[in-house]
Parts: sequence; C-alpha cells; structure tokens
Amino acid sequence: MSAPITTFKTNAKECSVHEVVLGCDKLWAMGQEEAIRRLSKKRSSASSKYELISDFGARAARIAAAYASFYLEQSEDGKQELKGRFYWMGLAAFASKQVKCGLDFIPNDPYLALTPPIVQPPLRIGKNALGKGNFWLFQDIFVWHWFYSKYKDQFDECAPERNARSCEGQIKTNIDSLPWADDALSILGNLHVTDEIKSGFKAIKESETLPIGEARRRKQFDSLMAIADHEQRKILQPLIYKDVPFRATLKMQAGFEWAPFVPVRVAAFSTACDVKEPEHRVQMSEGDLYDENDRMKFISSIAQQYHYLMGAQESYMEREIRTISTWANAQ
Amino acid sequence: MRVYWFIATCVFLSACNDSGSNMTNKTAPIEIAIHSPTKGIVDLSNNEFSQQCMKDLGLCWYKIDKSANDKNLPDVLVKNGSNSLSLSQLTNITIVTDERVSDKVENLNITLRGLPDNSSHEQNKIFIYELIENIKSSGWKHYYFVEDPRIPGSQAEKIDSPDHVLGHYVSSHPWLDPNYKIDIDHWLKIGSFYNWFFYNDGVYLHLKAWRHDSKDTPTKTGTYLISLEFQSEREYWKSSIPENERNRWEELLPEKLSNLHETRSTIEKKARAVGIEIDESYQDPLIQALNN
Repeated sequence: MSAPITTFKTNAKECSVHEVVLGCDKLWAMGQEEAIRRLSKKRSSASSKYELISDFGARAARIAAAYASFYLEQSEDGKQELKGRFYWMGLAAFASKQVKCGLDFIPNDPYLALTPPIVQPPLRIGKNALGKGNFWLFQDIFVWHWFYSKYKDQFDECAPERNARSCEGQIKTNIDSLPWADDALSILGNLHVTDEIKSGFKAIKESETLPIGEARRRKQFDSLMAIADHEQRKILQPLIYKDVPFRATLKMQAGFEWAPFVPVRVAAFSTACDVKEPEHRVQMSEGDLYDENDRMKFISSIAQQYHYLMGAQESYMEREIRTISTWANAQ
Repeated sequence: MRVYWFIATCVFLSACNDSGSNMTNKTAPIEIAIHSPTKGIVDLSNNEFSQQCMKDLGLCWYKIDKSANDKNLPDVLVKNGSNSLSLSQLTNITIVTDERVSDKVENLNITLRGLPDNSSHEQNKIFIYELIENIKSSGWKHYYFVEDPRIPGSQAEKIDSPDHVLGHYVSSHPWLDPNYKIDIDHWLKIGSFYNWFFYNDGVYLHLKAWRHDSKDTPTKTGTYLISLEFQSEREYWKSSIPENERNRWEELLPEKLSNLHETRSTIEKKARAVGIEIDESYQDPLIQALNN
C-alpha cells in the first residue's frame, strides 16, 4: 500500500545529502496515504504490503481511535501543551463510536441473508450509507488535521491546492481503488478546501495563543461548529443524506428508535454502545436527521452538551476518549 | 418475530409526529429566575422539560426543544435580581445543573427561532440589534473581557480586523460593542460567529449568532442561529481554573485576574499610542464571590 513520495538516486559519496523540497501536492499525497494506512492492515505478518480492512465496524472503530488520538495529541507531532485545540476531534471520536455501534448492529453477509427479507433492503442501504459517509468523512477531515499538525505554517498556502485527484503514481492508484472512490471524489470536489475548513482552522490557530479560560473555550467552540458545519453540509449532506433510499431508511428508523434491534440515533458521551440509561443520550427529538437545517440545530445541541462536559468534566471525557484511542488496530 | 413486530409498528406509528401542529393556544411565558431552584421552575412550567442526567457525574440537562416550524413556540421571562428580560418564540431552552455544587439555575441556554431561513443579512442585522436593545433595556450592561482593551464601538473605524486589535486576538471586539451599530459591510466581514457580552448583578450573558450564508446569494441572504447563554459567576469563572483546583476557584482567581489585567494594560497602552480612545469610565463588574 505504501508508495514513494519521491525517489533518490544513490551515489558513492559518503554521508551525501540530497535535499528535496516537497511541494503542497506531495504533502497532501502523504497525508492521504496516511489516512488510508490507518484503515489498513498488513496482508500477512511477513508482508510489508497493506490492504484495506473490510469490516465496516472495524473501520469505524479505527476512525474513532484516530480522532481520539488527535484530540489527545498522541502522535509524534502532537503537542501536549496545546491539548484541546483539535476540539472537533474529541466529539468526532464519540460520533464515530456511535457509527460503529450502528454498523455492528447490522449483520454482515451471509448472516444478513438470515434476517427476514423485508428488512434486508433497508439494513443494506443503512449499512452502506453509514460506512460510506464515515469512510469518506475520515479521508477528508483526517488529512486536514494531519497537515495542520505537521505543517502548520504551510497550511494556509497549501490548503487551496488540495486535490485528491492530482496525486500521481502508486498513491493515485491507491486512492482510485478506495471503495466508492469515483462517486465520492466527484461529489466532494476531490476533497477541496471549503470556507468552513478555513474558518475552523483559523479558530484552532487562534485558540493556541490563548490561555486557559473563557476566551479559549469560545474559540474551541467556534472551531468545533465550523468543522461540524463542513462535515455536515459539505461532506455528509451531498454524499449520503441526499440519497433518497437512505432518507427513507432514516425516516423509518426515526419513528422507532426505541424498538428492538434498532440502534438509537444518539451521540452518547461514553465508550459503550448499549447505553442503558436514557439519561446518557442526546437524542434528536424534533425534525428529521436528513434535513440540513434541522440537522445543524441538532449538531449545535450536541456541540453545546459536549462543550459543557468538556468544561465541567474534562477528566471524565478525556478518560473515555483515551479508551477509544486504543481501538487503532481493530480488525 | 420481534423484527416483524417492529416493521408493523413502524407503519402504524408513522403519523404520530406532532411537531407540525397547528394549535396556536399561547401559554404564559415560562419564568426562569437565575439562582433559583431548577426543580421549581421545571415543575411549574406549562411546557414540559425533558430531563437527561449523567448521574455518576451529577450533571442534569433540562430541556424544552421545539421545531422552528412549531406553531406554538414558548416564550420566557428571565429574571435576575430585580430585572426581567422577555424573550419570545424560542426553539430551545436548556438548563444545566451540576448537582455536586448547586441545584439552582446557574447555566441557562436559550435559542430563538429568529427570522425565516435565508432572510436578508440586513433584516437579520436589524432583528439582532432590536434584540440587543431589548437586552439593554432590561438592565444588562456591556461587558468587556478582563484581558481585552476597553475600546468602544466609536473607535471601530480605526480597527481593520474583525477579531484582532493591533495584532492581539480579542473576545469583546469594538465592532461588536452592543452600544454601537456597524454597517452591513463590517457586518459581513465578521464571518460566521457574532458575539456580544453583557453583565448584570452577578450574571454574565453571552449573545451569540451563528451565520450561514445562503448557497445562491451568500452576500445577500443567510440563516442565523441566535442564542443566549446566561452563566453565574461560578460557571463563568471556573473555566479559568484547572479542573483539579476548581473547588478553590475563589482563592485562585485573583492571581488569574491580575495576569488578565496585565494583558489589557499592554494592549490599551499600544492603542493609546496610535490614537485609539479607551473607555476609561468602564470598570470591571464586581465579582461578588470575591467580595464576600
């Protein structure tokens, strides 16, 4: 799976150094490669080649772990003293955990074929849409954060140059072979920059300069809302919520979230899938999840609850996020 | 068998959503007095609050949540001391209580229905300025963050950035002085998030507007999510103190305030040097907990 970003010719000169300036396009390609690698495993213990893990639930778990690690500044480029700047990532860790719960609830083939025929189409539609949305949201959003974390000073200059279709060689092959690639890249404009991404990362940058306190918390919240806006309106809305069969599936589920076998559409701030106590949930009680404006109001409500918890119970929240971060090798 | 039952019930219950009700029986506004017991407010309300608690953490959220299309949106009267602020047509009211420290209202969030989606920016500006006048006439005063320079809106033309002053990021920006109205060009330059800050008798009020421009005419129209957050002194200041020391916030706050004042002094000194006037008459509101 891994591909060279650039190549070097060897020579006989001892300790020779050859400096290569990597342009924005190469850096974006490296980030995309890393996003793919996070969802891949070695073909065998002896192999150096990677392949994408196939189970949707395992992908969602790894995605949740990647978000959690980013929030916690656990990577080599992480900065503990700035923990909390990637505020959206903390909420996204819980959200992807919820997606994992939904995906785990729907059996894979051949077991899906054992369910009553009438429920199979909506289950397949739901599973496919959740898997697709979560996968491509990760391919988009992880790389923005990865780039900012590694090359903050180049971010503003390079952001307009991101284009997942402009990669070359093996990386292009890898991207093109990702599931739903043709459809997703065309709908998402090859993961180009949006005003919401610019606004979100501007707020992140400003939050880094502020001391602990109300002003910093407000900036964190602004970054969260801007990136959530991007996620909802620019990624999930065109990619899955506009899809008529998926909307019908969601509508059916909306009437019945309490019914047996149906996962509730909640953003539960805990690592558990089966949240026994309804008090742990933020549940959408008005409007429909697929309607753009209703969903933003819903997201705003979740964001406020997350924001309050991060203010009042930061240690509890970070404990949960830390647990999610251990799912990085889910199979 | 359970799955079949689920499908059947799904069909029968699909018409049970009442969010689009045409009923317009207006009820009396919900009275919420800051620092009064939450339970009393919830029990007396004509509109039912939902309750969500995280029992192990001692946190509870009490909510009224309505669709913007609901014909019977609630009104509220927020009381603080001798002042009352009346707010109409609300889509969300949320009271959060941290029962480990208090069962009283110390954190209240209110979301207004506002204007219909994709109304003009000019109409939204007028709507929000009318709301600000309503807030001020109810006794709320402009609040500057302690670290921010006291630069009033009258100096707005001397500031060319919507969120910085002389290179420093500020929360209480002159363009968003509630005693000053900016033109539509400045309004649009602010971006997605608008923030005005107020203070009244031990309570901090943050008026927020989240702007989302229309897809077709982004410079002309948009949708605004307008909300107000009321915080007690303890709720407001606790975020300045690390979580493990928060029970000593009154003891630790003075040093924190001293650092924040230094930041203000530095920026104000720079501002005076370039001819920007400072509102010298403004004094930080008394923090009652430190005065007891």
